[in-house]
Amino acid sequence: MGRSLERASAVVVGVGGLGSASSYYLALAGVGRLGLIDADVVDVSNLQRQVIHSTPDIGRPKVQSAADKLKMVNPNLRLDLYETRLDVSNALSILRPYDVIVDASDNFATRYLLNDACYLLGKPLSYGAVFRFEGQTSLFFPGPGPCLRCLFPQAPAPGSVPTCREAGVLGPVPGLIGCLQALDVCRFLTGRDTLRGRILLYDARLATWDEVGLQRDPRCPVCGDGPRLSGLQRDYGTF
Amino acid sequence: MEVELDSGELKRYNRHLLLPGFGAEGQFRLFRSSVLVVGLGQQGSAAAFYLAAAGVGRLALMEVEDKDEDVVRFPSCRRDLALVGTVRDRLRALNPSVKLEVGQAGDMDGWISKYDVIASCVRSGRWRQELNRSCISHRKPLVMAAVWGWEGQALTVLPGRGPCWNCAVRYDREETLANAGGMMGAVAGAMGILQATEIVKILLGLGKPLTGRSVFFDGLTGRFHQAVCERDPECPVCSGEEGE
Repeated sequence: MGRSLERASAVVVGVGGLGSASSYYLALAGVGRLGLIDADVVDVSNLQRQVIHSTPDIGRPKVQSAADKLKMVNPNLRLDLYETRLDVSNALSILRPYDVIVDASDNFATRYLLNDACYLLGKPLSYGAVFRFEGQTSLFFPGPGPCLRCLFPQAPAPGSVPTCREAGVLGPVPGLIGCLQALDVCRFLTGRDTLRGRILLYDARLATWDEVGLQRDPRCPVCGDGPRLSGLQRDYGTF
Repeated sequence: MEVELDSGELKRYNRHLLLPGFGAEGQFRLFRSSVLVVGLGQQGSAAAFYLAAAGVGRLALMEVEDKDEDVVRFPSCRRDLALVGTVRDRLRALNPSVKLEVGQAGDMDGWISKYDVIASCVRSGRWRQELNRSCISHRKPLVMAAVWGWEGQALTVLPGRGPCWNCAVRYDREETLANAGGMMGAVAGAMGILQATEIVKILLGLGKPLTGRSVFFDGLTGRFHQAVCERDPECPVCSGEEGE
């Protein structure tokens, strides 16, 4: 069996619908150190699904609102709060201390930045994404593979894919995906079977869960046989 | 149906209003609906949080398994956001417009008859059977999920329209492992959140309910699988119930 969760650490990127659940269940599981990264403040439109926040938290930084609840779950938890947007200038230094990175973001710029940063740092990346009634999750190992770029080599063009803000999302869907991410991260940290090499696809309307195998793509700019990424891109765009 | 949401509601439920097949009418339907959540461990509190956030109009919380009777209780109260009062206070803060009630375990039948949908989040097989029987006799939809350590199973029982829990699970195990602490808290949480999703779907008549099939989740591997289950014509609980 792997090491104890108390001595393990994870960082959750985004304390929204996915991060509300993943940070809660990581704290409940007993992970010793947890980083939270989010530049936003709580908005009333978040509360339909971001259950770690409450109505009196509207206007407060999300990382602080979440930290208050997580301390109640586990008073011994070491919490690091980053009230900032992750970008090319700060990503490597913020992510470096943690054993696993949890992608709970809502935009492609952050997803690709995280994938590349995890490659450069040699860290696993828990991937979670939701759209309307659907969600998906996997565990990426950028470098050894497979990773986000093996699945989708490039981010879609800005504006070509609608965001949750534009398309909507059924409240509990990000909760379930975030919860599954937390469980997967804990399995990784304790040396158990993970979602590495497979992606779980959930359709809430049909109540179906499908699993698709993922393989390292030899042409992947991160995991492939050709020349690999030597640093972060200059710019990941904005979505 | 004429539906008017006020400006606060338009903002709060914006991500639902954008969804195809949901819209203001769906949100309004949630406002007028009621759900009884029985059992307030990790599973029941997760279900309650997502139902309250989604804007269900009336939400009742009922704890039926008292401390002495439990096989395993939570490892410590500090970690436990699940005691009725704590849950109620947090739910009120999350969404003040939800009408919260605390159900009386002594009158379970009476409470079941007053709600549109029942969520079973209890820990013991005996209570699951009890809820199944009561929901069948009151013809109330029951969204059931059971957690045994790392394993979860969920099934929606629509009385008269598919198998009941007794048809699907011939041998219901009493729980042997904690349903709350450590990593298994997330297994219970996943099942509770799944129940909230299925309840919203039933209230809105959206998508395909989890009836006539059970979903199984293995928290140790992260795998889901489904199994078709049929109504047992000899079932002592539901065989007398006719479809509508």
